[in-house]
Amino acid sequence: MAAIETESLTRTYGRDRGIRELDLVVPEGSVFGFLGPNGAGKTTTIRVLLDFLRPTSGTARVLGLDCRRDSVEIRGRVGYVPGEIGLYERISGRELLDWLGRLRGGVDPQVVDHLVERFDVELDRPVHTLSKGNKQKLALVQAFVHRPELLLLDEPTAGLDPIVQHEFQVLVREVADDGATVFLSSHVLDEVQHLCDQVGIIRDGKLVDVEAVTALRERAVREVSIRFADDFDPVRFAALPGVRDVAVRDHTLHLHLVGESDALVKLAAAHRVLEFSSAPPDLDDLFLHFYVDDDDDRPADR
Amino acid sequence: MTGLLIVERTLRDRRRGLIGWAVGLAAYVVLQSSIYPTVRDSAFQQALRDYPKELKAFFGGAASFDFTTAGGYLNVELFSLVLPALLVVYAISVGASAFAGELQTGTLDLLLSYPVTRTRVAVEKFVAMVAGVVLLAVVVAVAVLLAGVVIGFDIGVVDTFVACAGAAMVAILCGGCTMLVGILTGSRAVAMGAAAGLFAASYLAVGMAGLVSWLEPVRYASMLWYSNGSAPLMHGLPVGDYLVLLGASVMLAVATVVAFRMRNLVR
Repeated sequence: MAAIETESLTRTYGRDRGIRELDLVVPEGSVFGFLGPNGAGKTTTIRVLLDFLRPTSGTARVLGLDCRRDSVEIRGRVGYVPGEIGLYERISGRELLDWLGRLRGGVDPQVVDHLVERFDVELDRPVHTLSKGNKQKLALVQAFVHRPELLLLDEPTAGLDPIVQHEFQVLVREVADDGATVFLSSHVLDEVQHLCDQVGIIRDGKLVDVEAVTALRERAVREVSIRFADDFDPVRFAALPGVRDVAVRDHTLHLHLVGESDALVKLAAAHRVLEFSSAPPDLDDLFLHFYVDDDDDRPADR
Repeated sequence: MTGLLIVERTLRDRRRGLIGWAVGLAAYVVLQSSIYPTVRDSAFQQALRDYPKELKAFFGGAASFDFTTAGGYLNVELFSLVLPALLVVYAISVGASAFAGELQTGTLDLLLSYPVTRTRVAVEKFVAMVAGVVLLAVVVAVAVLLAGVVIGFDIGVVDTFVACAGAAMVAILCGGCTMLVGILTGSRAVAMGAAAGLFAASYLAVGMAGLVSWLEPVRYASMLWYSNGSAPLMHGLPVGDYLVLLGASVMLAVATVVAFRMRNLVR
């Protein structure tokens, strides 16, 4: 059984927003990345799965249940973290977690304590006095306390500092190892790369591709800059596999790199390197790549 | 079922506001009551008799301006407009937060990501609004009766509660209207405006109906006609009128639940 299965799922608003004819299968027990630029339909998909939005047409099943008819049961077995959550702010974090626990029909207090400790959640101050990051920690904790079978995470790490992001990634791996399914939407390729086994790419409301993360990484275009102390021969760099768009300014080499960095690093190491920077792959580049593949040289139509 | 947790949340979040409202309303009642002996014994009565008859007609006819009894005085000064208006303000603010407000702050997403039905959420939110209004109406009734004891005027216990119930039902209708419009439009401002407009129109309708004879039927479209048209503080429970208000409240509650069940949560 698939944890999530949609068939021709369509939910549009206006002329060009929403999702169209989405066929998505998320295998049980997988950590599935749902990758796409802002406005591609990631949030719409998750909101349909939670019955916040009703499909215009098509069907969606979550944990084998119908997302319309069995929504209450689904929501009892799912944990949800949106990027920007609204919390009841007049009460303390402790009161909030306690109340939400009762709304679930009771949760294991030991699990709550464990997660609170792990994320160092501020419990005693009123929620409205907390920083965005501390609020987001509360949002994370409340989604994990009932040991859900499926986690729907919609850009969950927005606003978190890197240490907490890392702790969150460790937690996601743990629950996945315990058998839970994780559905993680993001517009940041690196986040998805670290966590996911499989990635679905959505653009303009349509699923463009589903593939293993390793395959995606091989296709990702990185922007690399290297500043050398002395003169160097750009032609030798341009000849390396996966290197394109080579440009030289003063002693700095700029290029785009597809695939692994090994050959580039080894060649650069023959010189004295003052600075080496490799920007995370840009999603738009990745998508452009898909369009070039699919439609030869037709420019991406929006 | 896990108890009325959403009612509990709403009332707890509004605890301070509710206490403030209760204190303010009680103080207003005491103040208004305390000047009654002065009004009763003064030349003010004569001045009232000389008011233009059009003015009196707008405010419910000459019979309404009987300040020789405490009931007549409080009916004009409190129950005909001020009390329902104040309770309406409270109900509208609760009703606006309940759906449009929570939709805008995103807490509705959190709530509905939990295993609760839309019906339960809507019913509990309506009940919480009703509970707050009823609580405040009871406070007002008690304040009126205490003021009567202290200041020394005679007023019926049952009549006082009946009159407060009428004002409460008007507030519940306006609060329910705010909820329904809030669900349909997603906008706090539109929801509050619609309900406030409904109340103002109701007030005008009763006044104009008393003033212009061919406008008389218009009063039957006004909730204030049903709540206080017969001056229940002086004349007792208007069973038929109150049943109309109760029926309208129930219908509004049902409409709110149905609308919320159908609503797409688009921010």
